[in-house]
Amino acid sequence: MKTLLRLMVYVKPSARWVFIAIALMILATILDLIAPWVLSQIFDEGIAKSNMTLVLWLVISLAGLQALKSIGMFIQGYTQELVGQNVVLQLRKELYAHLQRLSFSYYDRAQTGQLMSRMTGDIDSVKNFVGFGAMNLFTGMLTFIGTVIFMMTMQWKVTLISLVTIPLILLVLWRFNRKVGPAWSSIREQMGRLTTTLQENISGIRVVKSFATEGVEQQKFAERNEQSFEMNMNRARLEAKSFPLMGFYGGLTFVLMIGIGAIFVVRDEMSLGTFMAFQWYTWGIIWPLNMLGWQINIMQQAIKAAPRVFEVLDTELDIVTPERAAATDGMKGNVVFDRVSFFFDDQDPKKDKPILDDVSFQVKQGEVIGVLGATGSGKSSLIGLLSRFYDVSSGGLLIDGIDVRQYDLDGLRRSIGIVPQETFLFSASIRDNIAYGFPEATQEQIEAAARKSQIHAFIESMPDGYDTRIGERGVGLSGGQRQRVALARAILMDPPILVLDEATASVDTATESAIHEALLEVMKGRTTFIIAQRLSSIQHADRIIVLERGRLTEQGTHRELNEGDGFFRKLFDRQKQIAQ
Amino acid sequence: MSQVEWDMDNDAEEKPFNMNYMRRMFTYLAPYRKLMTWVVIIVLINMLLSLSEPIILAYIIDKGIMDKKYSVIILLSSVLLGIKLIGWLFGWMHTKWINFTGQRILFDLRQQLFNHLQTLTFRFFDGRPAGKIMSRITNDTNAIGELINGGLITIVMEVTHLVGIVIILFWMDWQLALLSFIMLPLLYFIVAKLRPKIEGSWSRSRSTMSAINGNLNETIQGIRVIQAFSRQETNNEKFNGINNRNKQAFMRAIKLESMVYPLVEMVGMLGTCIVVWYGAIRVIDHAITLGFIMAFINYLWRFWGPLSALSKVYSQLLSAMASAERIFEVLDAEPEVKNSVHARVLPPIRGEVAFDNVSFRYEEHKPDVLHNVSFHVKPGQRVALVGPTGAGKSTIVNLLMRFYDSTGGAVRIDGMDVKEATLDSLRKQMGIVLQDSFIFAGTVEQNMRYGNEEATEEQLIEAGKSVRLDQVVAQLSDGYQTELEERGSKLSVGQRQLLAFGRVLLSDPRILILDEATSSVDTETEQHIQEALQTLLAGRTAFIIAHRLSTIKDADLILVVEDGRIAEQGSHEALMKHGGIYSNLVLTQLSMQESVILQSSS
Repeated sequence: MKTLLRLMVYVKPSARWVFIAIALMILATILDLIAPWVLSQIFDEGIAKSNMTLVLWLVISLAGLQALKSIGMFIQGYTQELVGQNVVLQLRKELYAHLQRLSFSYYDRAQTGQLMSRMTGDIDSVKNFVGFGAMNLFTGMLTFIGTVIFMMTMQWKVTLISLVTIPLILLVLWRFNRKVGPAWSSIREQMGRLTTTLQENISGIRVVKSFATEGVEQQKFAERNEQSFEMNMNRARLEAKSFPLMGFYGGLTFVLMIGIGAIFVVRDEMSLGTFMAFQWYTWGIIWPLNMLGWQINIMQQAIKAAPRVFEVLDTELDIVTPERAAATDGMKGNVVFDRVSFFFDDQDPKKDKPILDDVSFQVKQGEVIGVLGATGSGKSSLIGLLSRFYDVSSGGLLIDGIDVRQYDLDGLRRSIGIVPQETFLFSASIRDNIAYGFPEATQEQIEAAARKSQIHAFIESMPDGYDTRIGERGVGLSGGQRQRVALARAILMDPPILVLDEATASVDTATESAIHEALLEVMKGRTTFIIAQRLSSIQHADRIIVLERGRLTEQGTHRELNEGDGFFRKLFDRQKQIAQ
Repeated sequence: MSQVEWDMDNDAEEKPFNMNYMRRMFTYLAPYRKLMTWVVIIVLINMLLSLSEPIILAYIIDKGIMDKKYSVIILLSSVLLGIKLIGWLFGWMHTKWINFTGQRILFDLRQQLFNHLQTLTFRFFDGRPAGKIMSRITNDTNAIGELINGGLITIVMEVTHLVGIVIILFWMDWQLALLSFIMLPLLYFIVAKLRPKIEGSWSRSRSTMSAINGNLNETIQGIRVIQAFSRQETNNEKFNGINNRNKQAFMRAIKLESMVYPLVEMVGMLGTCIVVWYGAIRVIDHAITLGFIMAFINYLWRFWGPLSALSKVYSQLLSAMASAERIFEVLDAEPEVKNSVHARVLPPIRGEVAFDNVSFRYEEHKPDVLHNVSFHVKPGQRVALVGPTGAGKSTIVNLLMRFYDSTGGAVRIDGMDVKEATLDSLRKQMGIVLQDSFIFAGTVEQNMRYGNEEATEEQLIEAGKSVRLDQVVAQLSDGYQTELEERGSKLSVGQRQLLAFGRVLLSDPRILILDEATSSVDTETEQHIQEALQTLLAGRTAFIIAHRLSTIKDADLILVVEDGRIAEQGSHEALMKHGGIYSNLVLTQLSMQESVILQSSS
């Protein structure tokens, strides 16, 4: 019920359309009830009395009524879908906007396939009910009540006797309603799992092919597919058990009406005309009840699907812009890490080792900081905290003396240009990809950024230049080219803080060297973090910090660190050894 | 890559009806024809029984009511009751069977699509966003499932109903019958006019839905970039545009579809009116009786009901046709790399690899990306591929794996052209660690065993140790049993690379290919891996694409790739002596290190 009430909120803006659709439905029902009466008048008053003009007029009015009804039905059919579509549009819009704001911790756990199935399949189920289902449910009941009243006024005894099966039908309906809910719930769940399997397979198709595990994948999908089939058959069995039984009870009403009616006619307690009319009206009783089964089906589907959508919408945003946020205009880029510790959400601070452990250091505006450390030592997490992809577990992280949690979130992130480790490019033109963070950029600005990241010449060499479309994961470009497009993307943002997270790991040394030369100018006046494995990548760093298992173990200039005996020295020696 | 986005909503406004797709759709019914025959028989019997009801009713009126015989009334009512009981039983059977058939066909279609996707080459996936491909397997198959589930039974039921009624009407009075059908051509004309528009609009609605799917999938995949660049507002706008277009396309389809049913009813009523009017004249002329015309109209009324129901199925059919076209498009995509007719199983690989004048281009009219590449690798050699990004290094190993087929020349393993080997036997013996390390949702162990389910516990641990995965796993709460989420988001990029590396090692490949496999791994770990590989891969051929000198230097053969050509090849020493591109490359790297050294010690 709570779900239905919440859905009503989404229907409310379309209340006008709902009203029109229902009004038209009532009109059509009334016209349906009048038509048999007009027909009976044609027989009784027209033909029986050989009044051809009356016949003609009645026939014309019959056609007129139908014309009215047809127009009404068209408008009604259109508006009921419009209501459904309005709800879908709004739900999708909210869901999409919300998904974009959910934090990284959410996506660390979420499954793309599940999210997608909610956005499409589940929302569609909701639409079916809101548009088509609910209104038909309403008219069905209206037709039923209207017909019963009509019949009662004509011959109440026969009507009452014929209606004895109604409680039986309601009982079947009630039981169906109770059982079909869980059935739909598992179907929707299963559909989410099927989509997940599918999504993972398509995203990982390169791995699948390189291991030649197509057979295994087919098996995996077949299992999910089979489960989905089974779940649907469970539902079908419920339908098979209920619907024909309801049809039978409805038929019983029909039989009773004829049998009892005939006896009443014989006893002269009912006219033959009424007996005939009752046959017409029986459908007004049986049809809505039979339809009710389907409507309940649609309703239960929506009731089970809607919470899956709401669940995502209700996920609280844990990283948001605070009230009275500090503006980020004119940010200089003085960064202070003050005893920062960090745990992931699913870690237990008492038992598990922190990802970052009591890290403190300061960076002045314009400084270039190299970040070194072994795989998994927490280098990327450091950056994640700076951009507030995650919030610190303890300690403070200040930019220009203000805690990052005080800044306007969008402003903060726009002030930090990141070239991530894993390059994600969007399926759009190269131009759009470079201008991703700054869509208003001019062609000159875009080209300048591309030049600095040493990708301009390559782009120019393509037949369509900057308009060349590239695929979702940047396929069609080599790893190094993708990284350079991502670099241009960050440079174009012109941020006070620049972060290169192994941004040139897939770029050959000569190109890397050229990029760094070009970056010298870009980095001027900007605070820059360079995370790297190769010493050559950090040759221009003013200062280097070394992370080991989440702890900051060394910091200083190249020379200072070289004089020590830590990670840097070892790395340095190893690389020097190779050089010789 | 094509310049036109796949599945944009710029489909033609009108679609010609494609009879072939229709026929093809029905072939999916073929495996269930036995069951379907039973369904049809049941439905036919049911229909006949229901058609007999007015006749029984007439008897009740004539023999029961008129002659005031209770026994007749009770007897015939019992017959009616019997009919309803049989209807119940039949209803139960056909609801179950038709659902079974519908769901089974849905299953078949999805599986067929999925299986076909597994055979398609990277090129298919390169140009098509994952979300849009998914939309065809989930949303579009549903439309066809719905047609079978809801539509098929209606077609069988209502068509028999129609035929029965038409026969009865003609039998009763063929002139009146002809007269009542006088409006049918009008109906046909209207429907024929609307059909292409409806189908076109459904097709458009489907592709806008697919665009939503594509956009959504990309948003979720790229969420980290979106948030880093604070693109939410722009994206919302873009999505709202797609969302609105989908609504408009859908509403257009609905607008057209909503016309059909009321029109059918209207035409039906016009026909009835004509019959009533003409019938009235005939009755007044005493040509026919009042009872007769009442019965006739009774049946006529029943004629238009099924027709309206059929018109709804018709809309469903058109909508399914739009989907069928999209499904068949995928099914008809030919895998570019497939087993040739006389493909043989590749015997256990010794490791000799030869490229013989190999050239390659991605598409027919595109320029070559590899030109006459030739080299020869002896079994057990370690080969390093170096060169600027985009020079064609990855392409070379992709040809070796047969991810693509070369357009000229031949790639041979142990003297056998890879095109003659079965794909399975070829790829099962090779291991490639890709730049982008894709991790599946599941435990660390499941990921490790991805290429080799049967590996023993020792082998698993051994492989883990050699890539230092043991150290990563030691930090995880449940060790090898730790559940990793999609794409392994709990692990750092470097750790993911180690896992992907371990996964390949465990599959025990005869030829190992490392495509910048350790670019995000620290130098110390990398060196450890290098040493471990010495023993692990003793006697096996390895191809390594890397930029770090430390990785390249000890290779037996270094191939310098530039602009799709092998510019130089030889050992480190030979190439250094030669003083070409490679020595330049090394010198730049050294001088960069030198400057670091200078910085550190001056």
